[in-house]
Amino acid sequence: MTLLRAHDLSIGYGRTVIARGIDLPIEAGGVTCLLGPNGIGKTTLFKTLLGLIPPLSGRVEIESNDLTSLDQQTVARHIAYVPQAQATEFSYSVLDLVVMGRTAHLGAFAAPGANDYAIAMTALERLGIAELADRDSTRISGGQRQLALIARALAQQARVIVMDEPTASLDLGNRILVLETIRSLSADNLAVVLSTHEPEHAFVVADRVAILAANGFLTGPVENVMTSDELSRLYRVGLVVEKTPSGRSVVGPA
Amino acid sequence: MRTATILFLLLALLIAVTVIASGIGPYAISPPEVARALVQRLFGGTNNGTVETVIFNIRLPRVAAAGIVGAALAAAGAAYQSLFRNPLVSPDILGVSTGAGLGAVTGILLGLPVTAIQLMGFTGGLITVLIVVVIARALRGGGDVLVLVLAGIVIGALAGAAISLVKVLADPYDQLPAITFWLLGSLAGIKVHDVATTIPIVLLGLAPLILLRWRIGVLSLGDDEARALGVNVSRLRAIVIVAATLVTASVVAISGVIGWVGLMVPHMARLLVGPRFDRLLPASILLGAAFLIAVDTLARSAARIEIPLGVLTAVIGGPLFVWLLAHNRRRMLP
Repeated sequence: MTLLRAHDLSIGYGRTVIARGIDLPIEAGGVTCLLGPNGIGKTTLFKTLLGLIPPLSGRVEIESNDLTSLDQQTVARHIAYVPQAQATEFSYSVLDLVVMGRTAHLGAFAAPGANDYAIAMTALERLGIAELADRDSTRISGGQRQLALIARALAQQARVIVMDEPTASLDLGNRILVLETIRSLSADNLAVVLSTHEPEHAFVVADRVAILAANGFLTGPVENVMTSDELSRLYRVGLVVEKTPSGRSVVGPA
Repeated sequence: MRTATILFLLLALLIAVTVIASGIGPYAISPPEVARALVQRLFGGTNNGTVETVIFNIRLPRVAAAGIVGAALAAAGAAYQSLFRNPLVSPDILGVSTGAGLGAVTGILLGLPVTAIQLMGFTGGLITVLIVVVIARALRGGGDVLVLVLAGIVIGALAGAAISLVKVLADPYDQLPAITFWLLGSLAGIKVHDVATTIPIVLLGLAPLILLRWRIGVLSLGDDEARALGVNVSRLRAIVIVAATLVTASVVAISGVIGWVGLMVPHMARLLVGPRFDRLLPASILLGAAFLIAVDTLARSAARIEIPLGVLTAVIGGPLFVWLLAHNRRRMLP
């Protein structure tokens, strides 16, 4: 089932076109990995998919409704956003941060009730960080904060979760933890779209890869797109994809 | 301690401060006597003794005015700190105080009556913020937070220069002292009538802040995150700016420019109830009212002459703020 679809999309700001002709279906239970060099516009694509900035042409559809025709609250019930885990200015507790994910389900003048807190707690338990609920969200590790933000997206109960470099600046253990979490979300029939600078993560979690490069946009199943040629072109260095004896795919210099 | 308990204690503090402040002055009345008179009046009893006259005609209007001004400035400060995602923002970040100052000072220069001066102060504040918002929109099409703040600084500086010009033009024996006193903030000339006209406007401005308390808190996560969580950021921001401007301009019009309250009280409240705006707002309102009643009582009773309120809030607020920073850096700064 296609939850979200980019249709002949051009993205950018004002008159500056960053990329055009983007067609991208986001399927329930699928994980899409977005690769591209620094500054190419991965975040711009995400913001367009989330309805934070308007497309320059083409459209984004949620269950065949044009995104621009929907209000922000309706969009938020369908797509959740997991930003990079920076500390906020205000030291909210982890539970308070997660329960903010319930905003899209609240009336304009309402504050979260017992039910919303229960949903937030369930999301924390799901990610195995329930014991952090009362901790100050600015005083936990980067990996824990990333998990808390994913918990917030779960509390938002959206079918599509967009993650902006969820493994950036995490240590190896936390990176693996986040990747495993992403895989378990797709097992629950959620759709995850993530950007990363590590092509190998695509082999680990993704079933679809999207590449945003200077010469255009390309998407397809992991094994079709993640070839030595394509990756070399993308990162402008000679790269080779190799299988290790255990069957794992690794990317290294040619 | 639970938030409800803390808010209840703050309410008790506000009542206690009100009762004590109403008894302090040249004609001293003990707190139990004040309480008895208040309760009696509350239940319809009318007794026109000296005690009642002093309390209801002289002390209480001023105490009420101080409470309203303090509550309004603290609420506007808390809302702006959430809106601008910066705990060091105060209600006059968009130039409302300087604009109100320019309006009022011009009124004094023209020799207008007190009510007209207040009206000019109120309008001056509103117009200044309007100009700031229009400039920010013209520059960025939307009202980016940074552009808003920069436009506020520029227009505030212009209004400040205009105030200086008015001071030069003013009659140094008659008008200049009045202008200076107004710019330092004071509740000395407050009338029952001023309190009665200000209350509805302040309530009108506080209502949207109270109703939208949860969404305003979400706004503190930043524009993109708040929108992705389902908040209509541009509309909410416009509502907060209008509401905060309305309450600030209406109280500045009767009290003059009183600094520090809107910056510092939300910080004290944050230490008590945490950063969540839906808890911070009521705590700031109660604490702001109690704080300014206490400081204003000091202003009118500590010395032979009336100390300008703005001077006292700065003298108390500055060191207190440094102390708060030193002892709670982790909880107050990013």
